[in-house]
Amino acid sequence: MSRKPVFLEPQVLIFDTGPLWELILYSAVHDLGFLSLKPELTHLQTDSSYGRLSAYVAGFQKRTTTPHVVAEISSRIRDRTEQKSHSAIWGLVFTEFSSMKMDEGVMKLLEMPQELVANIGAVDVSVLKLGLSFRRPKPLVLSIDGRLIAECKDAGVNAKDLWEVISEENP
Amino acid sequence: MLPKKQSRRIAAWIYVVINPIIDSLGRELSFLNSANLTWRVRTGQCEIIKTLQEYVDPGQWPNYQVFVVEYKNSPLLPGFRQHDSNLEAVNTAAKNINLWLINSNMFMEMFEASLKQYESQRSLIGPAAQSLVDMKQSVQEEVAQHLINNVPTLPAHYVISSFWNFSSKNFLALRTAPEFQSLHRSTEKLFETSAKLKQVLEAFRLTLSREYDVPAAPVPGISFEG
Repeated sequence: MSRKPVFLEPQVLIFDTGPLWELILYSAVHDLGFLSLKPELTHLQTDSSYGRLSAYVAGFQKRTTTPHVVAEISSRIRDRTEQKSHSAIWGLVFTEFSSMKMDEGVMKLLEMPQELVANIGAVDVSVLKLGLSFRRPKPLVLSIDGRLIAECKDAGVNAKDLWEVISEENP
Repeated sequence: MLPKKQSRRIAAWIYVVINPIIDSLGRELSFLNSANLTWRVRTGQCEIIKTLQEYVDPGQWPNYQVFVVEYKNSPLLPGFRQHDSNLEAVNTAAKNINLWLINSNMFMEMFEASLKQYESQRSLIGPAAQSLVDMKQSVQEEVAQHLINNVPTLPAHYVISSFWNFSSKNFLALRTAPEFQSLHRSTEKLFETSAKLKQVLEAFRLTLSREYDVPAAPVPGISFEG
């Protein structure tokens, strides 16, 4: 008798900026005590929602993102947090990346469809293209951006909204 | 009413030097309270616990430097120097412990045995318990780091969390080894210095605030423009 596959979900998780930013903000607020950043947290407002996201991410063998997403995180740190906390927040980003063994897939601008870039932006297209680059193992894009999720699904790439992951119906 | 003499400089020192240092010392103390040094193998330094100047926005370092010059004979400055030298001692002790662990048979044997046990039982733990045999060296480094930082549990999405949460008790028991004494001593010293310095700075802020009629934090509508 053959064994059932252990993973019911796809095995590569591709992070869009939103969920990654939430993880970083959550740590900044709860581990570093940067309480002024709490209003920035739009999704991970409780310990249990953080726990659900953390457990969900843990179910993937591989976690990856794109340098475009990293650049977007960088500009959020610059624009939305105080200069004096940048060093500590970047410390968190490095810790999250190394602890999750986060990979990055380079997607070149000239290899992206220009119209789609004009329509949804280079960051979203980089995430979608990264999703399309995987055949095996199967990828899943995690985002808070409805437009990107729709584009991914149209292109045959599995995508999920962070709300679905952290909702209470998803213990 | 015209601002009192010096009040703009005093306001600058309170807002961009004293307050950020007091906030950061509070954060530092809460980490040190659980003996979490936030030390990282990657940099060989504590990540969140820094020198006092590093707690100030780099754009405000000239104000920090002028503050240090103006108060060079005050009892504050020895506390500043003490803090930074204690931190250096902590970083050195953590680096030494890390070296000792990586070269210690006791640690390596414990690591091998724990990993073997974990690998044999991980199918029972669940799908999040990944195999770590292909990343043994980086796992060893992380284990040493969490041991140095006295971290009891890790969030589930950290790759080694199942392994660490399964075996951390055994590893953390190594913290009672005599080799850890120097790290414990230097951590304790840093904690004492930081706690005292935070108190002194809070008292100093109160004195400045009273003497120069400067609020302890910026208040909308109250300007120090001359």
